[in-house]
Amino acid sequence: MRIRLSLLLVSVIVLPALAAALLLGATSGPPAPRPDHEAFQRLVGGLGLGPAVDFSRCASEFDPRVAAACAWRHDPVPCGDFFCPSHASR
Amino acid sequence: MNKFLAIAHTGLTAVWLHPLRSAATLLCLVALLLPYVAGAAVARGLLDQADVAIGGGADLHVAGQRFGRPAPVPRSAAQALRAIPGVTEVVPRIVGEVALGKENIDVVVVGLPAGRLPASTRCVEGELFQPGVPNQLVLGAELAHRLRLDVGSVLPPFYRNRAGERVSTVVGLFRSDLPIWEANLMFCSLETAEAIFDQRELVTGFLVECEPGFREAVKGSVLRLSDLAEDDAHGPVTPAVMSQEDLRSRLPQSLRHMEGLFDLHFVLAFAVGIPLLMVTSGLGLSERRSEAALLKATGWMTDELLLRGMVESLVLCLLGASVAVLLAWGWLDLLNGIGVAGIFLPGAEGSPTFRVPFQLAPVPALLGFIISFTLVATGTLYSTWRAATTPPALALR
Repeated sequence: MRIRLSLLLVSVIVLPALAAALLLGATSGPPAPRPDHEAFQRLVGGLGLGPAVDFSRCASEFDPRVAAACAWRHDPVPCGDFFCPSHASR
Repeated sequence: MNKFLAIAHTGLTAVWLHPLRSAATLLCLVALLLPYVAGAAVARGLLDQADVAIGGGADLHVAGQRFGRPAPVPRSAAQALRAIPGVTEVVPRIVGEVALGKENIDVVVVGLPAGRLPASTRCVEGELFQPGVPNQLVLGAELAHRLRLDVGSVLPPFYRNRAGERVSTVVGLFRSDLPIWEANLMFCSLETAEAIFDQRELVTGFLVECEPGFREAVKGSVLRLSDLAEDDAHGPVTPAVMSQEDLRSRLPQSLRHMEGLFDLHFVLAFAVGIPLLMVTSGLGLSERRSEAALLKATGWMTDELLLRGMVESLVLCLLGASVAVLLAWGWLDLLNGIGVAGIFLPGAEGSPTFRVPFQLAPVPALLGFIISFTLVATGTLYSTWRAATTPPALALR
């Protein structure tokens, strides 16, 4: 019982410490430069802004330069904007 | 102080004394917190990539409009744009969509003049398309993987053109560690893109570079142009301009939308989780009632029982939140978001070939911890208080 309690106590200390180190490590310091990402964007003239990787659902979700508005916003359902799978909190 | 620590220690013991209850509570906590922490991390990772996308783009993006909707623009409009004072470069660009393969995979086609490309680039395996050579393609990593194509592969005609279709050759592949938007990309020359869409001398937009300090003035001048298609008998194509500042102003808004969507799911998850957590924390469990009655019978006070329950809840939530953060990191970093990438990134496969962007942040983790502690402590403290205020003889009956 004592060993099990010690294990629990250790995990209560170690796991939060690991998680905190991970979170603080991820946010400390300036973001690392990404020359390959910059080269790609210069190559294609700046492409992409949202979470989509194609136009299949919402082109503006891919890049608002391609389509300024979400096509789903014109859904005939009343309050359809709030049910748009891409922009539900609009 | 010693008494306080001794009571706190019994709270730790209580976690171990009821392994099933503790394990069920932990599982619920991880199930609720993990998607939230992972989703918020992906949203922030994407924000970083979007920032690079804006910086790597042109000063202004000029497109056309008809009926208040995006419309193609004649390439000849470049002359009118070049004539505006402060403009240093105007590059026509085609961005469109085609479907490829038996699965009708959505492909984003980007066409640019071959002459503006660098001689070589590190972000492409193979080479870029050559000026004057038609139907040479550079494909995204995910697209090539899904279509089982490699450098040198030949694609049979996949489009319709009044002048006839041609076989296309894959000359390069984008590397998989680039921004997510390369995944389903087909990059080709402007002439090839014109042939794919069978649209002659038309583009979807212009990339306009300006002299330093001239951006706003040029934007105003472009917007004052009455027509980008002067020779078109169908009527004017009005300009629509988007500057880097316009795009940057959309980023926090977009992130809020994305997180707002996730918040909605999170609220739903909590709506399901609240009764579950309350039950697993002790509400309705007779064992907590008996335990509290026994402790009261041996001389424990109500506030000591509440402190014990508080420590138990704190330990469970600390463990739950920590495990959720560690699992989120492992899921996104080691497993590359397998199974969840398609939910966070529409259009991506469950196991994407590109690197899923993410950045863990303390605020969502802290917020999740506070909310889960409130829930667990509410369930624990309420049932403990109810049991502690009942006469022990009655509670043990």
